Amino acid sequence: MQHVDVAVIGAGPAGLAAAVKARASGVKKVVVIERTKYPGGLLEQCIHNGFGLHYFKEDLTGPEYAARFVEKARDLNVDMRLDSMVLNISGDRRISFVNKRDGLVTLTAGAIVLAMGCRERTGPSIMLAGTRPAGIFTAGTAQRYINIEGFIPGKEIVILGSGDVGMIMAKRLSLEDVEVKAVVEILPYVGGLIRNEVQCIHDFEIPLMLGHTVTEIHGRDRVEAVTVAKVDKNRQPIVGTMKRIKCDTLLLSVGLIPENELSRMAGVKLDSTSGGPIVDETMQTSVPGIFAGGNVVHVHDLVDHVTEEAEAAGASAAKYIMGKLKSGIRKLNLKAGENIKYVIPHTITGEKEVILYARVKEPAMKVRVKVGNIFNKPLRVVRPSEMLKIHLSPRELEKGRDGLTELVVSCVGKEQQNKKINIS
Amino acid sequence: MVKPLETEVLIIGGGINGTAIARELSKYKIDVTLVEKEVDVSFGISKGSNGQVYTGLEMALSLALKKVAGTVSEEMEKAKERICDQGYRLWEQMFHELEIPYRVVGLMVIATNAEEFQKLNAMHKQYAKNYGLKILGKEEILSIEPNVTQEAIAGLYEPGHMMVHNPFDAVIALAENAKDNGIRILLNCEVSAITKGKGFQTVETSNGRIKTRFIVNASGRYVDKIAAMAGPCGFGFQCFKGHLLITDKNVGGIVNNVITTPPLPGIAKVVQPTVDGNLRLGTLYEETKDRFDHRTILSGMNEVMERARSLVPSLSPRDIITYFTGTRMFSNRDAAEYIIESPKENPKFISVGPGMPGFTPAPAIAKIVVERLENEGLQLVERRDFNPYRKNITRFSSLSNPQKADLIRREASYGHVLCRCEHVTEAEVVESIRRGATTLDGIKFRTRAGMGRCQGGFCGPQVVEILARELNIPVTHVTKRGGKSRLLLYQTKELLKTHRRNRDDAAC
Repeated sequence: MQHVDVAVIGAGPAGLAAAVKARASGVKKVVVIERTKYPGGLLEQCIHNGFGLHYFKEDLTGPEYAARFVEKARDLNVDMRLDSMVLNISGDRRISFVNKRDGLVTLTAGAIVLAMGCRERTGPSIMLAGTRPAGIFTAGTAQRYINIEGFIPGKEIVILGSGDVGMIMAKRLSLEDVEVKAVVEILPYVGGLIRNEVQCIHDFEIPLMLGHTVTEIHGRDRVEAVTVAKVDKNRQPIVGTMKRIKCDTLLLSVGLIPENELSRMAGVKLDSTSGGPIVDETMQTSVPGIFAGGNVVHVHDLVDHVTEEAEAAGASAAKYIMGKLKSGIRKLNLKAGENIKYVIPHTITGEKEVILYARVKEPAMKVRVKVGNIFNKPLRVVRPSEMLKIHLSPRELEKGRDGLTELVVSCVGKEQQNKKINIS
Repeated sequence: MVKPLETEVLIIGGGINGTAIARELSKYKIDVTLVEKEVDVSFGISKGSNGQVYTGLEMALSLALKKVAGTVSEEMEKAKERICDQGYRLWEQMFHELEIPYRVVGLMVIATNAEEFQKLNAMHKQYAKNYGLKILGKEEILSIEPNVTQEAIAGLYEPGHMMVHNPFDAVIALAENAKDNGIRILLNCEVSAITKGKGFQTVETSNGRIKTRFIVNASGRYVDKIAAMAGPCGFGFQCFKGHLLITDKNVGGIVNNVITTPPLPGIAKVVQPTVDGNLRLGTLYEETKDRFDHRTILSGMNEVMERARSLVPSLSPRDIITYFTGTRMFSNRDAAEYIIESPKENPKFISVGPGMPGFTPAPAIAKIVVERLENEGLQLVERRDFNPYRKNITRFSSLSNPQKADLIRREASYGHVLCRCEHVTEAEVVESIRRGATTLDGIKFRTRAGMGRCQGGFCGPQVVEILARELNIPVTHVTKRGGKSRLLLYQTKELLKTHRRNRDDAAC
């Protein structure tokens, strides 16, 4: 049986960053196992720009961003197994995967980095009712058809959900002269980044229906129309507001779910709120020697953060196999408090500086972001679409030395904002 | 003029009854043609069946439905039980001969109050002798099924209650085996008129004229409509629609038996393990005037979910990966009746109606139909070379690691797993096309690619590409299930070109 030092599952932005970092940290044998034909993951189909503004301080397209890491990985002789599907991972770090060339391969790894990313929520996951014809696609699948395969699903499109991929597809389709009849969002605000709302929806004069949802799909063979209705405070359709919109395609951009089937097989404990593994500040999961980074842990809004988080996982994997990963003496649990959905990592030692990622539940203005009593910072506006990045310095952590076992992260605001946030 | 196709027996309909009859007839030296109006077999009423082959106890339970569906005579009830018992035994054999995946699951009827407990006792009294039923107390229930409701006070348990399978697996297997034994199957072939001549009947189809001596009308939802083409139709139906919800395999193991309540009008089998390891939540039947109504309705799905949760509380809407509706049709003369009948003036035209249960009696009904045909003058000479066996497509995901390794060594495309949820390989997809799949749904039914939790988001584009390659058609011609269900309508830049041309024209 082959043995590798570090095995990385997935060659998307997270996997590539983890592999490069592990190799750069002195690990000899790093293998990356990727199920598609090319490294780069979903970045390959994200041909729009806006990537790398934080990490590279440059404005790159998805493939350009990925290429930088692919090149680094090649230069560092990272062993890349493409077109290879991992079938199983066990808690003792035994991995089985298959591909056409090598057949079934089983290898053991000194450490594993999980970097499987996330997948899209489907129509059934939101109980979309009506007929089940051709012409219903998740936004990401449609993006692949258009940008990789070269095909357009239809010419009159309604998009349900205003996640980033959905909004980006609204623009992409408009550029193909497809008529985007509406972007329909059940919440009173868009699900994705404000910059995408401006650049992809408003700049293209696409009708944005906030506080609405699709209640029924029509058409036997192919989508012929959808019924759209206004929703009340409890997100229930309001009778009498139903409107039929003729279209041949419905795209769904209704959320992303971290993909953790392999994590489960390995016995990794998951957080039901974030959808990903429970991790400490080294990005180690509940199974020793198994680390995780990127969208497999929680869904990010910027690839730059994915890279940073996965680099941390790669660096920790390197330390682990060299016996240098120290588990701290203390363990501080991080808890989600007021208006916070989740916090990553789940535990810190409080002994060295750390970056926390947190997701708010509701948009709010003039808030204070607090971490226990050691961190307190004002913010003008917070939105669920924009992850909070909280840098805890050694000075701040110093304050939490004595006897603490738990830190509550909260976002306390004067005004809870449910209405549309002004874009200025 | 094109010469009409001549055949001895024409079967209309590629559902469970049509294919079971085709396979039964393929045992004899007869020229048989099966026509199906859809692009594939099992694309009609059969695919929404519950996928159950069950014992007579179920008859007692589906009393629920009969009460809703109106009249049931005792005589008809007895006949039905007989035909289903015979069907059950024939299925046991066919599951093996045709390699149809199936799984034996038990039945656990749960009572949560005194009234239900009384019903359990009554059922026990009536059926214990024949079906090895046991009455269980709360602790026994929870030791067998730890995830059912704590409110359970008693349960009725039958360990080997039913054989669950996928309805389309069964229909496809029967069709493949019939075809192997020489039956002609014409797809995309819709019947539009039937005329009776001397000693033969002429059938007009969308694929040309067919001349035949005998006709078996097993056209499911269309059975009365087709029957009316051949003469006055003496039967009609009452139709019911029910929602079926499928869960992720992650929660598939939380129960291992069919979990249900004592018979209530319109409710059948609340939580049922599937052969593939998911759970199927169902079914709450409501009468419908439109038997072609496939629409799912949110309130209907929520009701199914709530009912399932009342028995298995840990289930959540988050566990649902897909749903659909199923149609049940009952004779409006007697809900227990299986319609097998001919117009008076044309005994060589036999209609076979759908009923409930639909799958259990199918092989027995096939034997009855063949006997009728013989009585009407069809010569049955057994074929010595009849091959009762059919090999299923090798399911890569079900093999052990050494078997997988060996398979990839022999055929490299087993090493290309293109479905991340169900671990379906390229080799399986190609094999399903070789066996007759021409659409995304056809491949899904044969391989499970697209049936997992991501619902084809990952494998879809790859399957489309393979379909186009293997069938040698443009990608834009690939359909979900034939007809007008094309998936990708244009190439990139195509709309820009036509629009630009229009704009240029306008400018001139």
